[in-house]
Amino acid sequence: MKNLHEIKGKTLPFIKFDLKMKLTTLFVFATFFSVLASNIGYTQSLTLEEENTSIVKVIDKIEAMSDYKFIYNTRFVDLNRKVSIKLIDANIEQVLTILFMNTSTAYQIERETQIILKHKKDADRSKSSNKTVTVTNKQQNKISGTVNDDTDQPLPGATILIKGSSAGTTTDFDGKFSLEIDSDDAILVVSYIGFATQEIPVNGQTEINVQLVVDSAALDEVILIGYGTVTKKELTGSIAIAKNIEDRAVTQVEEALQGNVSGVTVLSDGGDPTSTPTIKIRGLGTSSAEKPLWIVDGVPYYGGPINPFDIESLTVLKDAASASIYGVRAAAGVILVTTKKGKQGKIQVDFGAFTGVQNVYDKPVALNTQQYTDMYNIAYDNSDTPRLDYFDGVSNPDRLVQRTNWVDEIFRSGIIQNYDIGLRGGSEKYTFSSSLGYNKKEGILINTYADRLSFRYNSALKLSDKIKIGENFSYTLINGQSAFTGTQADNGETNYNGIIAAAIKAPPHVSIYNSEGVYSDVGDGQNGDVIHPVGTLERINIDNPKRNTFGNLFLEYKPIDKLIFKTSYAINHSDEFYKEFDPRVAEASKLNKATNKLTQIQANEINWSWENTLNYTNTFNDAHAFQLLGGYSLQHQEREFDGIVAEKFESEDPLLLFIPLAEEINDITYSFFENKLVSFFSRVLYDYNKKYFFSASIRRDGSSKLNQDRRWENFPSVAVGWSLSEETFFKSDFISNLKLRASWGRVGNIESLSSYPTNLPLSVENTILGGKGYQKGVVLDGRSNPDINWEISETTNFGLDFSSENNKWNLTADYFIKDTNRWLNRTPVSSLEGIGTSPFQNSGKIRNKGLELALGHTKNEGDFTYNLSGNVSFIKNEVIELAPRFDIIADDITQVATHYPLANAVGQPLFSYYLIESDGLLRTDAAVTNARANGQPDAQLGDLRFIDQNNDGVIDDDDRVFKGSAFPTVSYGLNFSANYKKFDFSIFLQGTQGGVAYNGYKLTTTYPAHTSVSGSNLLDTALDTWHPGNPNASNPRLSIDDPNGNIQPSDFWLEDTDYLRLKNISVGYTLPKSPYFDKLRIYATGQNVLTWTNYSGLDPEVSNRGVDGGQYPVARTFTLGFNLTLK
Amino acid sequence: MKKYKYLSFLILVTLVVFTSCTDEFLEVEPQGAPTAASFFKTETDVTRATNALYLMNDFQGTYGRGMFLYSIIPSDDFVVGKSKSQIEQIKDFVTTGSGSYTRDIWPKHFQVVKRANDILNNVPDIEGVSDDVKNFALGNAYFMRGLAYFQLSLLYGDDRAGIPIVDETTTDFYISRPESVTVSYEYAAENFTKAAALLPLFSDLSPSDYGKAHKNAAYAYLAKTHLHNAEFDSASWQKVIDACNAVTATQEVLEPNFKDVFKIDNNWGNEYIWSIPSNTTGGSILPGASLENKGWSKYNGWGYFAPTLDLYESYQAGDLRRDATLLVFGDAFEFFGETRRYWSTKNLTGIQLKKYMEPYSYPNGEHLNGNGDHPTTDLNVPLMRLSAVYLMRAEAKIALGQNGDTDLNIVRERAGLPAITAATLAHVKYERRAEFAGELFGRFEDLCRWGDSAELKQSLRGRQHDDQEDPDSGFTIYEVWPERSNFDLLKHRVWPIPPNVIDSSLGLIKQNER
Repeated sequence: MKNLHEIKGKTLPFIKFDLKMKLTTLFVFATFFSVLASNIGYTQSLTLEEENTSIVKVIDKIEAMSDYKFIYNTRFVDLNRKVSIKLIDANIEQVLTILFMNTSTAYQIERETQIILKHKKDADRSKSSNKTVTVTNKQQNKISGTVNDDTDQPLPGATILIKGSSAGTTTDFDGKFSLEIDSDDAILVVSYIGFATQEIPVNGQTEINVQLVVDSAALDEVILIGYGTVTKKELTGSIAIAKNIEDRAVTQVEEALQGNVSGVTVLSDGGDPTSTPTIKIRGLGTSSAEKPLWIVDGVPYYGGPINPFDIESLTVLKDAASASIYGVRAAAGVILVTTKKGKQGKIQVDFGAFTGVQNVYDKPVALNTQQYTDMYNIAYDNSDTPRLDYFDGVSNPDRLVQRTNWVDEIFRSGIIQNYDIGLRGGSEKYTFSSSLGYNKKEGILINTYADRLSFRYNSALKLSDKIKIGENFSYTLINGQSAFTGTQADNGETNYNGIIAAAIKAPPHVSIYNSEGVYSDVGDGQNGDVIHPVGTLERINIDNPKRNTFGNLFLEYKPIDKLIFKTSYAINHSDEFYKEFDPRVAEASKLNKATNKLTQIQANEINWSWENTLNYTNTFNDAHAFQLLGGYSLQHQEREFDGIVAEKFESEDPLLLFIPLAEEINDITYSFFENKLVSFFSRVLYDYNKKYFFSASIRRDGSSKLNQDRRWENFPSVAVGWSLSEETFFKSDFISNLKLRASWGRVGNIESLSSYPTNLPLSVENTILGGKGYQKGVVLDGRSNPDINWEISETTNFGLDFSSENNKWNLTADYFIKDTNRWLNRTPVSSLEGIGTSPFQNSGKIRNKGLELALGHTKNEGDFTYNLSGNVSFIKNEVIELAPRFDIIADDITQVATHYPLANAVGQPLFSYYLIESDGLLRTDAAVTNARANGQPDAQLGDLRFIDQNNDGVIDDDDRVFKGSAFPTVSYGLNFSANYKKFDFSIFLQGTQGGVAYNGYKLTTTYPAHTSVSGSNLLDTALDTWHPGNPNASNPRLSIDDPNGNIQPSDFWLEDTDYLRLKNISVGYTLPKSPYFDKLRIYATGQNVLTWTNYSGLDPEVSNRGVDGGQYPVARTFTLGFNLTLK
Repeated sequence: MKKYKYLSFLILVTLVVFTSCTDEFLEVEPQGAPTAASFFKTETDVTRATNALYLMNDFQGTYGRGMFLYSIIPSDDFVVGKSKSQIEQIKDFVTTGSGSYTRDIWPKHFQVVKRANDILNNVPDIEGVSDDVKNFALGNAYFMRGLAYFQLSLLYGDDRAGIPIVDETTTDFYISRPESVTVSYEYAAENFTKAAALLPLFSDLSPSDYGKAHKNAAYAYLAKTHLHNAEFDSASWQKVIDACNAVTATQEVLEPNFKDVFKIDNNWGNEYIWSIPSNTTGGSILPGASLENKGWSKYNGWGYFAPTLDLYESYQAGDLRRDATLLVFGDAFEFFGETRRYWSTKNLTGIQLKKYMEPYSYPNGEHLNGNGDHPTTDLNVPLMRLSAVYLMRAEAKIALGQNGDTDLNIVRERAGLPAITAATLAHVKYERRAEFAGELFGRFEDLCRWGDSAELKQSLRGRQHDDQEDPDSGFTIYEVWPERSNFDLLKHRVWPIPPNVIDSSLGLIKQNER
């Protein structure tokens, strides 16, 4: 090649035709999406750093790194001229302008990639000379400066233009620029992709330093949609993006979404370190399994928890039109995750570490010994029953010695540690990214913890200009130990097992250990049914490693221009091992053990998917832009599970706790399931002049779960958008973007169903007959339902996007109606049929209606910049139809103690409270007389008044009424972040309204026996119960028999769970760049710092559908950390 | 370059091939467990289907708490041993039927009925399985279906309404209750009759079939069904006698000593007709549920059932059954290999039910379930004993004006009591109370069918000891349970049907009005 250039004197112009096409891309996504994106506008970016190099070499370089081809006649171009050039991520025009500045060479770009070099005179004659940027030679004032981002990192390649002219320059590798201007009044327009454009009046300055701020709402921001990307401008569906993930020191992805995105409700499952918060996108759509589909780097993901450190972006597809391309698994919304990728350039090494401490936010207070005996004496007096000697402090003075505060004993400060290291980089052909993270959280209850080790590697390799292959690999190992904090055990025994309730109920005059040094007998005497809180926690001995290995290999092939074929195979293997040892423990209160037991469970799950897509992008007549997608995918899931219970180990030495050493093997279980899914999908995206947008998609899914005649279902969607702000009649200086959107689509859900609902496997049961151990029984304990069909959810969405000039103000509003049709519901069957569980049937309809608003505001003022964003979602959930022949179906699963307060009914939200209504306490004799005459024959002063809705003179189940549900109707978040010089600060508030909880925690710790009290200690709420000496108390009287049924399920136990939480507050400082590092930010963060709520339970975020059993409370956490990028 | 092109081509070809066979790809056969299509083919299948009839044996909602709470607690023999509102509500006849301890009785019984019907529908047509095997399975199915109907009838049926009849031909399960419990008793009787014809004697069973139905169990329950039905249909008395005769034709010798009846060694002894098979893995938790609360720090007893002083004092002088049935302060007994004298700080009456305590006498708890939250033992809990056959026949004879002395005296003699002549119903009442105290479907159901409301209403007494840790301590007698004046025989002899059963019946199953 080189020698070809050196041939001189040829008469015919030498047309260079070597098509050594290379692809580089500016986009951070090294996946398929990036390729799509880069095709949309065909803006390839170039990075050049040449010192005293000949033009011909520079041209060679450009050709090598891009798709551009140079065509020129050697006569007109001085190929040997030496130039020095330093440009980062510059566009071709900038490069050419600088290369041929002050020469006689002009350039012209044809068909996007052909660069024709001509003599200036020729160029002047050519009609496309308007593309030429000329920089005049006139003597001018020179100004210089640097452009940095908001963390003081230089921004190479930022564009500086003089307003009103085509003159300008770009910054160099160090973010420096210099420019000549002809007027002191000139205004510089500084811009960079992803940052808000700034205008700076020169005002005679010679040095101007500019700090650009990330533009959170940039219209050219690339947004992931299913199987592709669009720019924000082109969006027609309802999609939300979670921001500020990195700044919040979160340990779980779900936490990053809480309050951060409108329309997404994240319900934390208390503070249990092993639990994962639940994500509900646009309300409760169905009554059973409903989880959003996670797509990581373009493939359905069923792997382990994703390390937040690895996440580049989080996108939530909310409306059906956006999600329906994912069909069957998308009814509950789709969350798209991209992980960080390597970039071409030097290897970047990032470290992140934080450590902190978490504490219980609001510790419950139990009665002390004196209060404990006092309240029991009151309870006996209230019941007209002689006081017990046991509660007589005079005859039994030991009762009054305060020995243990059990609540203090079970809680502790838990240490959180998190370490991450990332290594990213690449060359022209190859990019890679790898990271390793370790997180360990100690729970705030003793002996509870969770840890996670995660490793991720991804890379992409360009084999040729047409073929690219890549891979994603991740491995996670999690382990942990939690404690039971509810009030319901497997055996139906309900009122004494949650550990927090147990600590309240344990007798304060008993010490932790008895004189022999073993756990003392807390249940002795009249203390009621109590377990030893410390012993129970310390005895937990579970080893439960869960390993996930995920791998994905993909190939992209570009047979012709604008057409991309991609095939991708992904597999996830998760294997879980559970080993719990239940020892014979020398514990005076846990004497029920005659032997020890080892439970061992193993589960293996393999998910694979193979997806093939064709994507064609083109623009006709500069106005009609098309993106066509067609695809096909296969998915397979299988899970195998086996369990074994071994008993009677002679030695409890951990080294000898292996199944072969057990004397008895009792319970062997096994199960297997498998299901498959085949999908065809296609979509068209179209826009006219970025003004009118249209998209339509259809997916056809076939599932192995359903019978042949119902197996296939089509999931269509259609969406339109209109950018008003692009219309000529709609010109406004204030509005930079105003767009209206509307969409409709359908998605399916059959996740609730087991793998074989149409052909149920028989159950293998253990039965006891004569002889030792179990004998096997086999039975069909259900009913196959050959008619079972897809649950279909249908969403209509109307949206509006608005941005003011320079994106100072942004507003996104969406209104939706989401209907779940053919609701997969377990409707009750006749008890006479004799099957254990009701089969799923397609019956009923649920509607969620909602409004979502997200507002953002950004402002830059010199050294001070800030960003304010808020979002709010209003959701109304309603059951429209239930099941034929049923108006109300009581929920007989969710309970606290023996209460089942929930039911589903037409016209009510899913899982509504259905209870007897109460009307305060009976505080006067007249009220008591009245109550006795109206259905409460045993009423006394201090009892609850119930309302006899049907006026039949009896208070019973027929008097129940509906009283709202746990799911909040309003959820909101507010984020404020600011930078001043090298300091950054952010504060994040989050809250909900409209949710109601059934405070079973208060119920079971204040009236633990359900006949009121029976010996165990009580929560301090007991001090606020009615007795003759406390007539203004808020709670009904303590008694030992509860003849009035104060403790029956009634709305007295319902409380609003509205709360506002200072979820996160962070302060950070970024150190000036040093010879050792590019970036070092140190920060301090507080999580769940303050909560404002009137809810009296442990935490207003109640799981279990709002039925509070005193669950593990959310902790308050303070952390210190740093992020470091090495030089 | 070329190799990539080939690769792409290869992928495209594979794609096309895969696309064309998607329907095959989507066919998935259940694995890991049999399906309806692959089951009921072999003898093992028949045995396993038969085993599945016995799901309630290890279910504490029926044979632990469950029916025992409904049967033992409301009588004048027992009070609730520790504060438990669900149980107290049963004692006071104010339960709603929704309590977790009892709400599963009804549905579990219908699960048994369903399983019996599956056998009756499938087993006769299996090829290659012997008639003996088939008859045994069918006999078990009829017996268990009969037992389900008998027990449900007793708990929920009276002359206002019976139990909806489901048989192997039923396809529509929305069925109303029959007008009287007699209909469901007759249905139970019909099942027991069929079972008796198909089943072998217990003595002909191989040990591996112990715990399953046999001929005399069917006859004895046939007798008991008619005994209860006789209240509504006097023609049943003769049927009681006939059925009892059928039992004693092959089984007539009682276990010689009353106290030996409740020993692990005699699980399958002379007295055995029907029991809940139990072992250290599962079975009935009644022994643990009735043991001293916390078991004197040795085992997790639950202390639910406290015998009354009224029961203790009801025994005639010299009746050996009192000390075999009850423990009072100072009584010696074996416990975890040691002799101890009874005291209790927790028992409300100062009296402990001793009948089921033999498993606790052994050192190291070797006959006990290691899981104290599921306190089963190696002792089978008897549900039907040979002495019941004699007492049923005696009662039937007296009811028909015949002489029941012989049958009654067989039971009295073993109890160490003198023979009586010209026995009346009053004598039967004494014997039944003394014999079956703390056993399922005894005192409470007897008082109801005899119409003895007064006994059920009266206040109940216990002993309050001065020093509850001293076996020799003195005591005062006190009222441990107040009079239950609200008891209305017409309403309270049956229990509320669990509300979710009513709710899911489309209005066809009417609640027992209380």
